[in-house]
Amino acid sequence: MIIAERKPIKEIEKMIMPYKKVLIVGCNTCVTICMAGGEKEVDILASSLNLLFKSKHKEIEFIKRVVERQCEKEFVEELKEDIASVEAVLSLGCGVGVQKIVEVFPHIPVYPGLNTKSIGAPEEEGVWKEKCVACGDCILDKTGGICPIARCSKKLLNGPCGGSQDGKCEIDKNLDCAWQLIYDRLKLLGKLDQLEEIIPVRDWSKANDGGPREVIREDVRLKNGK
Amino acid sequence: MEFEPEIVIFCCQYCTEAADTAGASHLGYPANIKLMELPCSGKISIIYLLKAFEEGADGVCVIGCEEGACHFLRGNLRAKKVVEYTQKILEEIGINKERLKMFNLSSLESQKFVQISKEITEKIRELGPIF
Amino acid sequence: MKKGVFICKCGGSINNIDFQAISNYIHSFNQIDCIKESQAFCLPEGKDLIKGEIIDSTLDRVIIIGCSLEEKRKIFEGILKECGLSPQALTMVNIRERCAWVHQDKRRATEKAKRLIKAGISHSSLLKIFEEEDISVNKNVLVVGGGIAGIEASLELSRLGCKVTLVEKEPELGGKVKRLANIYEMKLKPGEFLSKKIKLIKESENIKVLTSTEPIKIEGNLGNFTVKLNKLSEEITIKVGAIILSVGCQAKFMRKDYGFDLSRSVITHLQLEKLFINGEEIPQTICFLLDFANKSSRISFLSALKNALLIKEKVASEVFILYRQMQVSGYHLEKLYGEAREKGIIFFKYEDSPEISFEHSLVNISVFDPLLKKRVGISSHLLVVEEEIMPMSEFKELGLDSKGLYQEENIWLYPAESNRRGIFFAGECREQEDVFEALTDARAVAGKVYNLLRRGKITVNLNRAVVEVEKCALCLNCIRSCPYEAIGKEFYKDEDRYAAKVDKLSCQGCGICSSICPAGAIQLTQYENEQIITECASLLTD
Ligand SMILES: Cc1cc2nc3c(=O)[nH]c(=O)nc-3n(C[C@H](O)[C@H](O)[C@H](O)COP(=O)(O)OP(=O)(O)OC[C@H]3O[C@@H](n4cnc5c(N)ncnc54)[C@H](O)[C@@H]3O)c2cc1C
Ligand code: SF4
Ligand code: SF4
Ligand code: SF4
Ligand code: SF4
Repeated sequence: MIIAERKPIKEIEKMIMPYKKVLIVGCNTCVTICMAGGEKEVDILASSLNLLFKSKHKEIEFIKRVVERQCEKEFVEELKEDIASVEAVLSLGCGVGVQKIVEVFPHIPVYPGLNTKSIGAPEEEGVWKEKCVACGDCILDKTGGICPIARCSKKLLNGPCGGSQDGKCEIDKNLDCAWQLIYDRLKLLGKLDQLEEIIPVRDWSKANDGGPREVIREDVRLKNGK
Repeated sequence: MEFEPEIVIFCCQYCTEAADTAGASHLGYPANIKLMELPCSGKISIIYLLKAFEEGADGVCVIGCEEGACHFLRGNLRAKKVVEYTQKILEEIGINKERLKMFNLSSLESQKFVQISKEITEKIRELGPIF
Repeated sequence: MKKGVFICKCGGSINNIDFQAISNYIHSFNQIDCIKESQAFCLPEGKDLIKGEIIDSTLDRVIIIGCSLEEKRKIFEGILKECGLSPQALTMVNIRERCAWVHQDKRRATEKAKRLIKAGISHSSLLKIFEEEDISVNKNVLVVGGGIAGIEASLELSRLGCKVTLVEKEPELGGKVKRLANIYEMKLKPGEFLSKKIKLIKESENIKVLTSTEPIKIEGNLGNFTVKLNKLSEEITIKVGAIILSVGCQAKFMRKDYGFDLSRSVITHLQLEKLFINGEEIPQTICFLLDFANKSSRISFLSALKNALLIKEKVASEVFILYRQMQVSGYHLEKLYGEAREKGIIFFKYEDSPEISFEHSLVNISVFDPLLKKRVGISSHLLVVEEEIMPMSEFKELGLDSKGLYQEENIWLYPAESNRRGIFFAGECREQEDVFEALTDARAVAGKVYNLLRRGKITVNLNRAVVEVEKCALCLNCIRSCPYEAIGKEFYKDEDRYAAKVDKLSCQGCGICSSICPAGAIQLTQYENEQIITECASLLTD
């Protein structure tokens, strides 16, 4: 799922400073689960901002909403009435959510309240870690199910760098060396020989470097289909 | 007139016993203190703390059982984390984090409850009104 | 909703509050259907007044202003029940211990009392009442571990009429007692004592014994557990309402603590017991080294004192006991210690670890005794060292205490219960106990289990977490954070979706789940977010 984190309140303050009435919109999917933009966080942010503005003798009125999935038009459309009554929107969805609101309601300013960080998973209570960078050409079959692009600091494809020590990455001793993990997993599976296969230079055009990507399911698509 | 701070103490049901024993023994403490009883200090939420300030509290406390002695295992440790996190928010929005504090007690320590109440009232009086 | 407010003056003991002002204040609220005052609502006259008002004004919320003592709460809850109301409909506002008795200034005390009352009324207005509800439970019990504790718990449960399955991983019942040569202050030999108990087990129609069997999976909650057992690679599934773990503990010699190995001249307590059982010869001098690794327990002292005396009597040899801190608290230990001193057992206290060296078949021990203020040397044929007591690892996920034995969860609330409601501990797995203590403990736990299950149904706690299915994002945070493992995920047919589900019997009402939930989907009855926030706001504003 998408992992995000609230922006510093000062940053948010600057964005919404010019307005008198703002809609804060959370999303009940990924960002609720990673505790960045669910109902609870919407309440906390609104309350924090209230306190902040109170100390500055300014008042902004907040309307608080949470939609089921901010990345879907149908859910975002439910905000129509609320949006009509405010001057700006502060989204606590991921970057996709912000842009969806912009697409559905092009006339109102929409601001991001979160920094969208990664595609990842919860590791322990309160900790989420990046696992995939959506490179567009998955190689997990070759790397024991552990992604070196997302999890090796140098994105190395064919074995560790010289800095891998005691299972830790030389860039950050708190990080597990992805290549150590890959080696250990392949060893566990009895497939160390897989490491002899050289992973060729990648075609990064399949990643975001090739421009925005699109996924099309021809069997479902009718509108512009031939 | 002297500034009388508004103070809320969120108190787990066991530490409330300490407060009530203080009451039964007529051990005085400042009338500024108002108790909100929770089943466990682990019930405390960031939003309760922020809302208390929003509604006019000049100081807020959370009291839970001694570490390692929570009736619900680790509720008081969670409370501590919640308080620390909320203190960070307070700092972000320019409110002195000293206005929010966590204490640990046992249900027998009525004297300590009184002492905490006096201490926090003095501290907040010193800091002055929140707004 | 019809609210009644009852102002109790507590026989005049609440004297520095201006009751006239309070009464006027309450009259200024809109939606209050009756306001009554009394000198003491907990006395017959006052009680009748409340009863009368509930019925005449058809009240469904009752607010009593005065104290909030637990025993008084029980009285008032009783009145509500008599009138057909849920005890949850009661709100008590304490203006006595939390106001009048702690604040000198009458004006300020009265002002604060008003706020407390306002908060109480707002709490009451937002109360949701839940029906009391019984959940039917399986009355059978599983006892895991056939040591003396497991045996005794099974016998007691059987006597009370419960059906018990007793599983033991070894081929025979008996546990550690089987390995003892004597039990202090018991005339019977451990073997005979066990045989008697095991005979009773065999005769009981209520007890089914499965030896060479271990549980491999425990699923479900209080009242309805499903346990998978493994009996010599055969899988058996049983359903029970409660589980008693009486798995004892492991006793292992830890070489790393001592720095030397066991040998002919260095043995452990249990090995010494074995020498006795086999009737082997005991050498001339013998030295017990207690607490060397700082991990000693009362049971070690019991075992050392008991055997030291025995050796002294039978073999007329020289017996030394080295200790850091004498641990003789508890049943008959003090007496045993006195006896040992009297019979000429030689005790040395130490603070710094004794130096130990080996020479042929002798063990040389040099120890500085801070009481004698001098160093003494002992040459002994036999050195008896301690086993470290460790928990049986299989059930670790149930929580361990710092000593490594099973956590007596809620030592304050429910001794002997684990953090999963319906799973209990008995015997040495919970706390180091001698045989007599293990027996008493086992019977007490059996009684508790019986009491819990005997009606075949359990009334659920009204103060518990409730999930609003539509709002749940199934983030699993509540499931992970509940200290009682009371929450799981479940498919709700009516709503046609998955969501978190609180087990009504396992929830203990701490509210931790609700404070963590990022979706505001799980709330604690009586302490819903909205309720707390509104109540707190009332406390803060006039
Ligand atoms: C060295 C030593 C000396 C002692 N001397 C004395 C003494 O002199 N006097 C005295 O009163 N007390 C003495 N004790 C204490 C006494 O042994 C204990 O009080 C008693 O054995 C506790 O019984 P229990 O049933 O709790 O545990 P145990 O006797 O340990 O029984 C536990 C049983 O559970 C079984 N089990 C474990 N795990 C599983 C599983 N996963 N599945 C199924 N079964 C399992 C075990 O095989 C065992 O049979 C001594 C203890 C020690 C270690
Ligand atoms: S290889 Fe690419 S798609 Fe596969 S896990 Fe790594 S980043 Fe994601
Ligand atoms: S140490 Fe491991 S994870 Fe870190 S950069 Fe080198 S190979 Fe990658
Ligand atoms: S914490 Fe809340 S949203 Fe998450 S699973 Fe539990 S009830 Fe659902
Ligand atoms: S209230 Fe406490 S015990 Fe009940 S489900 Fe929530 S966390 Fe578990």
